[in-house]
Amino acid sequence: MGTSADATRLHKSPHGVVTVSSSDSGTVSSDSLTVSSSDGGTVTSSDGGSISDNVTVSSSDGATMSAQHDTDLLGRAVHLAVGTAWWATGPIRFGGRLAARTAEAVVSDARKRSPWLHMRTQGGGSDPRSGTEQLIQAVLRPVITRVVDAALAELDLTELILANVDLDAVAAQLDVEAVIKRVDLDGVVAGVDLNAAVERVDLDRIVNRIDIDGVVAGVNIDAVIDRVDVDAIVRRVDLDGAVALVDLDAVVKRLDLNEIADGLDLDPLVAKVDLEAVVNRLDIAAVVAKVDPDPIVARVNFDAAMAQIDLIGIAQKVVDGIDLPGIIRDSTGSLASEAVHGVRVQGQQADDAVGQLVGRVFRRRAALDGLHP
Amino acid sequence: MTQANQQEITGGSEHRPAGIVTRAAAMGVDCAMVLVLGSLLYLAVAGARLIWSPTTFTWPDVPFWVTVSVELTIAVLYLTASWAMTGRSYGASLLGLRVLSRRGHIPGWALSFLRAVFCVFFPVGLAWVILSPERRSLQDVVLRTVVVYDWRGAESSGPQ
Repeated sequence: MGTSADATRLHKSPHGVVTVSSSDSGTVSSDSLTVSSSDGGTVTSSDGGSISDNVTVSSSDGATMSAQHDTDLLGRAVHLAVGTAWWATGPIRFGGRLAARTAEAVVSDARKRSPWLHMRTQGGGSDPRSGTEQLIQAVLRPVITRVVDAALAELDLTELILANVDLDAVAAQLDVEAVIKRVDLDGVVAGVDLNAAVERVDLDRIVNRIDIDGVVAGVNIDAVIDRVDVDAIVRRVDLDGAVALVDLDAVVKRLDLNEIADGLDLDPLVAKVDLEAVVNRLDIAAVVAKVDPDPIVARVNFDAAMAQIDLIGIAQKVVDGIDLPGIIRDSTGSLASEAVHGVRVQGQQADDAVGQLVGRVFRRRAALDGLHP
Repeated sequence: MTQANQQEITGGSEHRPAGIVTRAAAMGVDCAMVLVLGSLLYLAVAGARLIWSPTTFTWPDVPFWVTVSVELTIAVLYLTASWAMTGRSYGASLLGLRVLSRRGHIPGWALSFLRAVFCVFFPVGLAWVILSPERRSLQDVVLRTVVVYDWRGAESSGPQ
């Protein structure tokens, strides 16, 4: 938004800085203003250059304004008069100060020597001197202010310091460590909004600018590894606590056990296993009791199994291994023995029966016929 | 013969003199054996004749008295040999009987021969067992032998 020429104001400070402002709160664009010097002088910026009173500021809309210096001729005359008076009254002021110092020294010595004078001057002894100083300050303060402003307007302190002061020597004399010790770093850090500072840092950009490959290539990994005390690190690690934090169930679920099993060479492991001890520890009876043989038997192809078995050969071997004639002979002999035994028993009983019958007929005692007397 | 000896002879189960039933059964078995032996002898003679003159072979025509004589001879020899060697014939072995002498021993050949002749030619003497209180036949009474129950095997039939 531009501004009109009527709303534009020029102001030159006592230090020679010209300020262009807009009274209607508009923005004064630097592109629409031309700053020139009619007296051929040099227009400098606020970095220490001086601007003469004849500076003209013109805008692109045709308005031309001349910088009116706020200091008028009366100010110049006052400056000149005050400067002349200050110079002229220099000896008088020197003599006055000398007399005042002398009087103060005399009075102070007298107070130390005389208790009475000390008592008399203790309460309001200083009142005349304070009143005099206040009067002098009231009279001279405006004069001193004017003189100091005029001197500062005439002098470029920055240029004077740069031209006359050996900053390197000054810096060399500085006790940097003492300065640092005086700095309240804790207070400084406490006052820093680290979060905001970190948020403003573009870490991605920083990381992208880092040549990680180059950094890694320059690292002597072997030397680093040799310097690492792995044992000490392991001893400091709370493995129990770490393991307790691990969700083993989730880990196991994520494992591809089939792939792991395919990669294992089980033969050496099985060769180390004491299978006899394992079998001895097994409760075979309990395992067999849990097995349901019906489904297993139902899946067996007995016809195919029987077709692969040489039943004739097996039967021949069985018959060869059995003493069938002996078995038949023993069986026959056993049967014959049982039959003979039966015949003998029945024969004895028949003998006894006949003997008892005969004994009854002949009324005799028959001890041999199985009858006890 | 004492009770203990009888018990030892009969295998511990019986040691009493045998009765008429078992002895008659044993005699029947022995008769069958004699008939079988006679038949075998007849077949042997026929076989010999066949081998000797096959072309003129005919079954031997044996007279009855010869047959009876041969059968009786076979019976006497069979019983003599059986009693003298084991104290029991096949029939007695089958029925668990044994013939013992007066002293409880297996009878000798002479005693066995006499008893065999007596039994073959006077078999009715066995019936005296029914009436005898000691279950002795007439042969036993005359020859002082006894027939007892003895169920042991033939291996234990040695002289007692």
